[in-house]
Amino acid sequence: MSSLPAPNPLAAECLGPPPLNPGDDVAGYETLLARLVAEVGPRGLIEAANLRDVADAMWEGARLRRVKAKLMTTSADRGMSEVLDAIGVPADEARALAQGWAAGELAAVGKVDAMLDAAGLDIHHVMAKTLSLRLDQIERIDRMIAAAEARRAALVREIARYREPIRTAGAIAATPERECTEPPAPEGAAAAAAGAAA
Amino acid sequence: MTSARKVFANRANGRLSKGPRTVGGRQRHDRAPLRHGLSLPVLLDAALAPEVDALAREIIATSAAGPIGDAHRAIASRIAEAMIDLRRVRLAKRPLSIALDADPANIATLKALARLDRYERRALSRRKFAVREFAAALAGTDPARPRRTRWPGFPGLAILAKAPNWDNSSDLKGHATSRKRRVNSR
Repeated sequence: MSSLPAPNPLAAECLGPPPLNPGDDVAGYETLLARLVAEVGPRGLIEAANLRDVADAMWEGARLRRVKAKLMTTSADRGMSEVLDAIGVPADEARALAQGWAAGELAAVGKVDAMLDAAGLDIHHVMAKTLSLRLDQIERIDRMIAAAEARRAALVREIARYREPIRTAGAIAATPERECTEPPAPEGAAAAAAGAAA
Repeated sequence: MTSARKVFANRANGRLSKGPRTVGGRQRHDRAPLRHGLSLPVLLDAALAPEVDALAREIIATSAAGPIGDAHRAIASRIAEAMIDLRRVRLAKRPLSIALDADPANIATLKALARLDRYERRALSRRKFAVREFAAALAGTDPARPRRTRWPGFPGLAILAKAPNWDNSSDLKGHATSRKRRVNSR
């Protein structure tokens, strides 16, 4: 964790290990943290902790989105089985076909596609059915994603709020000042404004 | 208004129906806070007290350039406690997060993670208010009346400071406010 904005080993220990699960992209996390550090230039343990939490909240949000996508993919066979059942395929055959389809067996995929075509359905109907079967889990994951994003936004605001009165009063060790500007408009808005001006 | 007789009966009935009754139920209820210990204050754990002190000193050393008093040290200790609380919660979340990665459909893991989210939110909130107090103490201002914060030049982070609008509720609120304004202006 060379990019960890911690003044010394004690601080690094207090922030705990990075939120990386087995198989996570360690370099990706380090790049994210390094970019945040380059952007903000944290001064002191408090800003370092806030910034690290911003990175962790972003990482957690991304992971939860991945988990949601994984849940949909791994449950698609159940959705397919239910859809086949609904269009009149006997339950045992529907289950076997759905399992074969999920495993990527060519014969099963071809047969399932033909059945769905004949019924005027496609993969979107299957995913909608899958969503309805897993709605409880998806809803919980969505709530956790929303919480992580709210946490991230609040932490960024807290960094700004912490820095402002201290800087104005000159009560913190001096480091090179950054230019004080208003938050820029999102890129889309800037492009739209340029287009309107043209 | 509810009569005194009804109030008395409601209270008596309420006393009869609240809480676990069986011995096993009461024991489970008593053991509930001991499951992960995250609701207990950090300083109850004697092993963590020196760490809190060291961390508070580090916060002061890296954050303040002016004179430091006992009040500053007390607030720094509160920040340190909240930081250690946060670390405890995150360490508790780690195995659950790994389990969820392995089995996204496991509803028990999802519920357990959501429960721990609450402790994380509380620790973050404690740290936030302690940090605000610390900043105000360093700057000699009133924490209850913050100065208007100017955006301190993080153009890359501006977009991150806005939580996404998940349910369009702010649009609805804006609409309701503007209607109310119209009604009031008539």
